[in-house]
Amino acid sequence: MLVISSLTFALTVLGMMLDGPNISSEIFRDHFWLAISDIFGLGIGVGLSILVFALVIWIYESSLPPAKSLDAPSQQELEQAASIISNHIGGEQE
Amino acid sequence: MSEVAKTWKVIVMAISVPPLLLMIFAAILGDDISNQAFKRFGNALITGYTFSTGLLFINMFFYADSRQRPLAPLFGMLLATIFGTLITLWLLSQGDLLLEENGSVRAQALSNIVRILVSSLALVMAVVVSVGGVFVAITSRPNRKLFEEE
Repeated sequence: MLVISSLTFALTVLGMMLDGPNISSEIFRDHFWLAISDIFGLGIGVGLSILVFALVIWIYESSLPPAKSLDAPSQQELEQAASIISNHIGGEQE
Repeated sequence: MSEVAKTWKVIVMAISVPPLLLMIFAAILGDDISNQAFKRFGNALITGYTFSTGLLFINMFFYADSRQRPLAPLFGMLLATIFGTLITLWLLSQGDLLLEENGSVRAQALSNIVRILVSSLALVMAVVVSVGGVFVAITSRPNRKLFEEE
């Protein structure tokens, strides 16, 4: 990864400094700034749209009525649960 | 600092430092940021927003499927997409404000769409190369010994 990154970095720097047979360094730098503007603009635009998406979902979710919470279990239900649990974790003695 | 915070710091630095260094380097070589670059930035921003809201509007159908198909979020996202499209067309029709070397609004809009597709493809390719590189780096490590065999 470091080799690929360094190679790309070095090629870009060389392109900015040296005139090539097909493109001068000045035109290369112009295109470099245009590419940077393009990528930054794209990133900010996509980020904004994700914010809008989250905002739409948040507004909709916050407008929903809260979920109805259940009543506390009665004594009879607690006893029934306790008997079921004890049946399952007791096991047989060998 | 926790390990997670350190990892995030390294990732953010690895993403942001090389382009920043290149920008500093280009600035040192005596370039001013041209009017053309601002135009390109504006075009990329509004096109990226509109394109992405369109994709997220489609994605909203999947969200609606998990919520008894409500219409409100779909309508909200549709409004955001239409708003983006109208703002894009309005800004492009303001003459020299965002028009680059294209003669008409339609040509500029088409140029923006093609450019955004190319930029997105380049970014996706960079991500694929990075993820592939990380995968190779992780799998090429010698296996760690978890337990000493008796």
